Amino acid sequence: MSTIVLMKAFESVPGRYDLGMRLITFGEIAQLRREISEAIPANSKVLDIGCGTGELLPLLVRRGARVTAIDKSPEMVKTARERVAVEGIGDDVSINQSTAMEVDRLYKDAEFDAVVLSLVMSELTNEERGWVLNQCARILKPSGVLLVADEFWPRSFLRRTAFSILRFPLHLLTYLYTQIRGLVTTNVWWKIYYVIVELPLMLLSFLVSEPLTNPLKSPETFLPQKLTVAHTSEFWGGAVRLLKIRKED
Amino acid sequence: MKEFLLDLLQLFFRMIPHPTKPRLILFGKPDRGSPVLVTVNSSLTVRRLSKALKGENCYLLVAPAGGINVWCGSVGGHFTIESIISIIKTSNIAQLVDHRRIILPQLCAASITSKELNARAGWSAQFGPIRAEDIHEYLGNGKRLTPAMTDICYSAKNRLEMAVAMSGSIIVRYSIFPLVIFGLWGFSRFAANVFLASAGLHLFNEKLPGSSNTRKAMFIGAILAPALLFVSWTAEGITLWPSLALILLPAGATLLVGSAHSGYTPFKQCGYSRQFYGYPPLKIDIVAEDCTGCTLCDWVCPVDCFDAVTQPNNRIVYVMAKPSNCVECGACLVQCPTEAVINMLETAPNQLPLSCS
Repeated sequence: MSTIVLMKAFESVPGRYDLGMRLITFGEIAQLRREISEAIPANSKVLDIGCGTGELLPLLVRRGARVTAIDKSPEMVKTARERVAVEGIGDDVSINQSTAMEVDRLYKDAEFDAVVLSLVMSELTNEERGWVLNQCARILKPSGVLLVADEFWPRSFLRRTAFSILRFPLHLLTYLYTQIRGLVTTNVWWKIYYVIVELPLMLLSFLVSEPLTNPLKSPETFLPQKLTVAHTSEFWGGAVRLLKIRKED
Repeated sequence: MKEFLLDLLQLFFRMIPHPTKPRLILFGKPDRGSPVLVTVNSSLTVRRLSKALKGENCYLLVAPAGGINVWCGSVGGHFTIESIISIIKTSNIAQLVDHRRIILPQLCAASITSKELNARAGWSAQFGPIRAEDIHEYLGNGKRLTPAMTDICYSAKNRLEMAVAMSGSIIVRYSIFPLVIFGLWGFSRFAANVFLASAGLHLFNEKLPGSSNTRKAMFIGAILAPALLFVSWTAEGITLWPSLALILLPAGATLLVGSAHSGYTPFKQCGYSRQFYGYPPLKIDIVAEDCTGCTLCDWVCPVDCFDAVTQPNNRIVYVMAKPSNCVECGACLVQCPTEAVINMLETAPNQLPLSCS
């Protein structure tokens, strides 16, 4: 069992992000991506919200999909565009820098056959989740597919306890790393000084701040009425799940 | 009383975030034309603003910004356009009002422009006053700013608040050293010294002798140390080690207070942001040929750097009149619609890449 809160540590450098994701998921991320692409109807129009470095895009295009991808980070968008250029799939993919909270102005009703939300939901607040899912329901065609791949609280009490015990130190380390990675000083003494005097403040901030990612609870708690779960695949003892969600006609 | 203690606690721990739930708050009986104000989700900020908005009819959007205050959150990359887009969407404010205008706190001008918000969300923004106390007058005057509302002030109350915040940050950061070396006895003396030196330096800064803040702080230390020694000698008798400690502790405290002071005034950037987070130094100037005299830089400048001048051809342009006032917040640089405001230390396109808390 692993927890992907660590991914926040790698987000600043796209190249390192791919490697980091492979390491912290023990390579299972490839399996997850394959399952996402296989769940997409052939020759469909797909929206990938939060495309990251765009590792999913070639898989989707191979299924015959025409893909629109968005990501909030300019570095991620740049890396994804480079990947698309290298793979030579530029005709079927368009990538824009935008957040999930802007899809209401970007896309018309019933524009897509499928929408992918991969590791996006856990970074949103409860209110934002509800809003984004309602928008997904709007832009999906009738019987369209919504794919949510994300970190979940495991179902059984025992696993949930083990998961939180494991997650806490990893979350703390990730938080401290995200605080320190922004340092620009190259002087090693300044760095040591910073860690010593800032540690009490960083620990206090960690305790009072919003967590870097919030694992999702069971789908019934956040899905709007129009959307129903058709199939669930579990990874790492249920800590990461892929939900295939169908929009009712 | 409870609120006062909470304010004090949050001031003391000002260096850590105080997040509260992002949400929509209604004041009075707002209708479809009532103003929509936006602020950050720092609970201290929301509490103070709520007090100032009593009796108004308006909406307040509390945007997700990491629980950090407006100025630090804005310059540090936490209070952004995305924060505002998120709260506009999740609060459903568009269903409650007919207009599409929000009022922003002026100190977020370093990161948020009306132009970008309009392009990305279809809402326009105007900057309101810096201080919550001025909002009543601002709304009563048909949302008109007076020059006094757009400049920061540093009153005795502000100074005392900053002294609490500064002593808090120094005590939390450095207490481990006196605690390990001298135990609780040393910690309590260190904390008292830090607070007294902070209060003295903030309240009487202009009146203290010495050319730098460190020297002014040392002057306070020179009063504090003998006073401590005197109290200790009359109570506990003359002993070597405690006496030595009572010289070392005020000396350390005043040095820390002196070096931290300018970053805790509204007139200087905090030294940390440059040393550790690479905040770019700014030297602002205005290219007269590109200036359209739109007045925006003058309105968003919190320290009144700019003056209007009439050129020989009767064109009014703005100039950097008081460069020594500049706090290098970058608001003018971000807001200028014609890119006439430039940073002399940076010729590349102006970016403020920063993430600090």
